[in-house]
Amino acid sequence: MITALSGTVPVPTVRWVDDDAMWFPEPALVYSWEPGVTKPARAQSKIAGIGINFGPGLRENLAGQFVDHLARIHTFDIEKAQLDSYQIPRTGSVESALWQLNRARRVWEEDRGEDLPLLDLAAEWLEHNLPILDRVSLVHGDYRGGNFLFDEDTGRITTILDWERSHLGDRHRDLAWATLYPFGHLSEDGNQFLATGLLPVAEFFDRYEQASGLTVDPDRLRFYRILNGYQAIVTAYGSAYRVSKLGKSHQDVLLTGLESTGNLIAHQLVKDLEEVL
Amino acid sequence: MADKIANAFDAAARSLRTIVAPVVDENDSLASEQLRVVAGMLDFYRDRIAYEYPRKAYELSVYCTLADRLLREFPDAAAGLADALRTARAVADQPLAEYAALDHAVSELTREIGTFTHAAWDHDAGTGAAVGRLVLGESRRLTDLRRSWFLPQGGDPAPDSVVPLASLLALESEHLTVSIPQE
Repeated sequence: MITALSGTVPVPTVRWVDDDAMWFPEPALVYSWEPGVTKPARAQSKIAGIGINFGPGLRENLAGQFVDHLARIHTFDIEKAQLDSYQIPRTGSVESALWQLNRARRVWEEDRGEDLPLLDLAAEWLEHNLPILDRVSLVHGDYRGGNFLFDEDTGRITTILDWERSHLGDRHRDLAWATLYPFGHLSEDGNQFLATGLLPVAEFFDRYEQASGLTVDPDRLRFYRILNGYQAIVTAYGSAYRVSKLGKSHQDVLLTGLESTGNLIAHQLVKDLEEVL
Repeated sequence: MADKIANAFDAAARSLRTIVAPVVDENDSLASEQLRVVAGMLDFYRDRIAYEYPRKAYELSVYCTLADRLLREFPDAAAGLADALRTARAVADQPLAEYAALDHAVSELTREIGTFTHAAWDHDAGTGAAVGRLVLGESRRLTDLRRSWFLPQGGDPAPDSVVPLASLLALESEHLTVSIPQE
């Protein structure tokens, strides 16, 4: 995926792929070191670059690139690329949404240390409201502030990182992800919520439609907003707990801090489900 | 009265910041970051440890309320939920229930509520939605509680709308059998 996108959007160069975990404990890839920062030197954010405040100066410059790059990713011609490892969901079917839901449900079953009725409810609503796919797009899977590098002097995005959740599917998955509650913050005047700290949500969708020529469907957006909330809580409450409990990474202590982020998403998930039930 | 637990947490965090931090290689960004995180975690739990028992009791109280509402609304529910509620209430009503007993009761109850929720959706979407609305009503109380719990960590995008933890637990104390410390 990363190699295929070279020349379309800024991505690192892939050096080695250990897809059978021959050299590393888990399947892994090593890509080139790229210049840039994830946040301004003086900016505060939570762990993993979540909730970055870029400040008004950088914001406008980054916002345009953020939208344009996403549009290019979603309109990338997948027929031209060698993406043999990726399953292609059928348009006119619910496969894309169902595969993503099943993946998240399986992770919850394997990783959780508790039961959470809110997630049981969300999974059922999602399963009963799967949207039909209108177009297969290349989906980044974790497209937000903190997952791209930029040059602080010029404000130019130098590379897009963290493609581990990339897949072929519905563009609304990325669009809804970038507007998740903990990834953004209120504008300085307190009047508008800025998606991933960059631009108001409605403006984000307007500019995306102009840049991509694709539509933003409110119904699909709502489904993926709920699916993303479900998936993010699975990561924060389930996977982070399991990884840190088992001492699986050098970031265990940081992972325990994801619980607070998970709760903010749960807070939003309650609101989102109240709108549809 | 001397708060020896808070004192111990303070001493541990101070030790990290004043004794350990100066000898950590400043070029080791991972070690520096984790030192800062661990010290912050000690600060956080110094201020939260006194509330952990009331928080668990509150959580159990909320799930007992939810199970009760589900059983009233759907009296034909499987016996598992009613059994779990009966057991949970017996624990919740004890003035000095052990923490582990509260935790176990929450686990049993949430599992049965989950099973009931899945069965409702399997029956028909209308029943599933009706159950869902009850689940959401009580889930909101829990996410509000957790926002209050994590407020000192500073990540809430709308902190002014969050009720302080001691205030929130005090408001709910009529449902609990424990006293609430002051923040």
